[in-house]
Amino acid sequence: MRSMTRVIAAFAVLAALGLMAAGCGSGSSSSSGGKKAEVVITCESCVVTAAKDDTFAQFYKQLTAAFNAKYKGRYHVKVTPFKPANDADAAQHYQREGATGTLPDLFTEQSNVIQSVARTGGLTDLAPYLSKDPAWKDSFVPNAFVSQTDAQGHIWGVPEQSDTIGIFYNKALFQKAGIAAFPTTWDELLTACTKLKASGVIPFAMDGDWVTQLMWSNLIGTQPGGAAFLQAGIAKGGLADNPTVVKATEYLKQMHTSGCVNKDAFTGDYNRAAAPFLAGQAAMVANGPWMAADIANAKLKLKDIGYVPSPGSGLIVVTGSAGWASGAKDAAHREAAVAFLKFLTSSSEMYRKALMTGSYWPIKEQLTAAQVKQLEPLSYNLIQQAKNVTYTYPNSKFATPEAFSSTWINDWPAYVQGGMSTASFLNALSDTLR
Amino acid sequence: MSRSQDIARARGLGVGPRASVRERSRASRLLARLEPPTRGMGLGIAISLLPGIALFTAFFLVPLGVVVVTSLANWGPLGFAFDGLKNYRTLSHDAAFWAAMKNTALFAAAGVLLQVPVGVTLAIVLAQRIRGWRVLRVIYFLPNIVSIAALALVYLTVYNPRYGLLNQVLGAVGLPTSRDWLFDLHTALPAVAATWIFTAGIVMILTMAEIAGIPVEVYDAARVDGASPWQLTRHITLPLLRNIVGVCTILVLLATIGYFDGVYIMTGGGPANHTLTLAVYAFQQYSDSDWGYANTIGTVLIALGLVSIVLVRRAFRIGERDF
Repeated sequence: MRSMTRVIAAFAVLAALGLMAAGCGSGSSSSSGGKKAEVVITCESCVVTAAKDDTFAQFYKQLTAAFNAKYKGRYHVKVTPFKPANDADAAQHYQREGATGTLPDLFTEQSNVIQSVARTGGLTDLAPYLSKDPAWKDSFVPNAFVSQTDAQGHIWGVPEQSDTIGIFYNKALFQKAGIAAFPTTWDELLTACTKLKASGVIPFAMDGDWVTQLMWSNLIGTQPGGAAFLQAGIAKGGLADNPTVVKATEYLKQMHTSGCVNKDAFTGDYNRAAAPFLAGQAAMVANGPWMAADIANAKLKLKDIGYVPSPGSGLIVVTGSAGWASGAKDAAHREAAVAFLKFLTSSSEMYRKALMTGSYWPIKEQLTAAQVKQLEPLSYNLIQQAKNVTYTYPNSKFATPEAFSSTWINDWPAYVQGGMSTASFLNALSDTLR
Repeated sequence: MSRSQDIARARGLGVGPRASVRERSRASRLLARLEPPTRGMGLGIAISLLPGIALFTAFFLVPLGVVVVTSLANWGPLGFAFDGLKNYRTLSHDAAFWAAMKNTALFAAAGVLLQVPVGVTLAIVLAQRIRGWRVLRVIYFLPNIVSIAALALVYLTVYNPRYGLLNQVLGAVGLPTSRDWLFDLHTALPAVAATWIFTAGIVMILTMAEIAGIPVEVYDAARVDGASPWQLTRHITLPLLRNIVGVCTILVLLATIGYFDGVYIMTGGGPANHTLTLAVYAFQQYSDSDWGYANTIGTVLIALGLVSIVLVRRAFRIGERDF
């Protein structure tokens, strides 16, 4: 009997110790002794270790550490890293987590992925938190939340980036071909292509996916009504019935058939476009400001490179193509997640990110002359030019589902080679938008 | 005639009606030793088979069942709902599926009609122990050691229209050098097929092993009768390779029906589905979050594999002895 009592007592002590340990490590916001426990939030896009040349990962690593230091004892970001193989993998991963109620408290993804995860009912609507803090809401540029907002007005993500995407060109190669200035019209671009080709260089580097679609957006966006189409019309499909889209598509095809692009422009592999430009073999490439870091690392000198708006006086401005969302399940964790989002989109962190990665902020940043001097000049100057161009418009790639791009990669070579008509090609793209 | 009688006859111990009592007794003692010791060991055999059966069930039969059952459902990350044969009806008028079916059939035909004959021919030639046959055997087998993914990456470079080896070689002999082999509508499919069609190392090795098993006496007897080397190959070697050629045909068919890595890396199924295979198409559907439809394509793949095995087994009478 005595031994039985000892056994029961031992179990009771163990159980009590277990409960205490659970209470200490739970990360819940329950109070203990009058002091609020630290709220631990999980983050799948935060970073603990990062490769030296991965500037974005380096920024997220510093951001996570800085947040944990600032909010020590109150909030703590626990990194539970997830590295998707591609956009489709990311979409499925978060949709699964949304459907099973296992979303992390924080993650960042493309806006179309976030919208699809929102349909699982597992995301936090951030609209009330933004309304509760007008200063935070007003710190963002106009339309920053457009791609994160659904038809009912719910805001499922907070943007952390606003990219102005232009065209990089190699001034030395232009000079060698006898071209004094970057073409300002689409006709001038074809003339420049002929001259550049004659001088023995690849006029325009393309890849059959990212870069090619950037040029497609430029061609659509620099026509009247094009910007509105890219903003809202594209999702409705019917591309073959839109004369602006047809004209843009046929011009882009002409660039290929007239030898204006690299011979391996069909792979869908971004490196096929980036490599010849970075090697000084191609004169032009459309890409985001983050390419400046690659240019600096390549043999090219930044002073020999220009970064300009598209012919037709247009620039792709993408705000909120990706965002940070929260799958927090209770008020305490939601508060902590929102605190992280406010910290991320604070003026100091956004500036630090621009310095580290070359990508710019979606907030109304007021910079001193000294701060401007520290920024990478190519991209900063392009942002300034955005105020003077005739058209600004989004990138088609961010307004369309993953299947749109995979269909583009699949059918674009056939279309350019004459295996498909313009209508067939555009109808195939429209089918992915249903 | 019973198996016991067969064995006993083989041992020269007659057990027919005319056999003596002594012979019968001797035969029965011998047979007791020859019979497989199964009596009373059923439980032991069952227990020893259990882990294998359990693993086979868990890692093959259950997933196979899941593929077949979910092929009847609208299944994705956001939900699951049975919808009968809807996926199969969609499949029947899906142009991409039929393009994938056609390409897969072409790959399978190319494998059977080119890879198998090439492998068998190589084996017959090398089995003659020609000078340097060991080195040649290793060289021909090397591509089978390298992963298909690694080979595909190499061929991506070889076929590159800007700096690829193929166009450079063509240019050196005065031929046009601008063709984008993997993304040209006319060359994409043969260009992809050419990356694996001649890698017949497995067929060669298996066939060489079979040739080594043919009794030398058969050849000696034919030579005594004045048979030429060609006649030896035509009338002895080739007929006796029936079983292994059948096995190789099954192996090649199954590999080509499920061909994925090379296409996925080199073209992704493009341009305009000209290199799309069923396996790549199933993966694309999975990536597009249409898991039920992906498994419908997977079920078609399984059915194709089973039908191929049955047909080839019958055509080649695999398992039947020739001597």
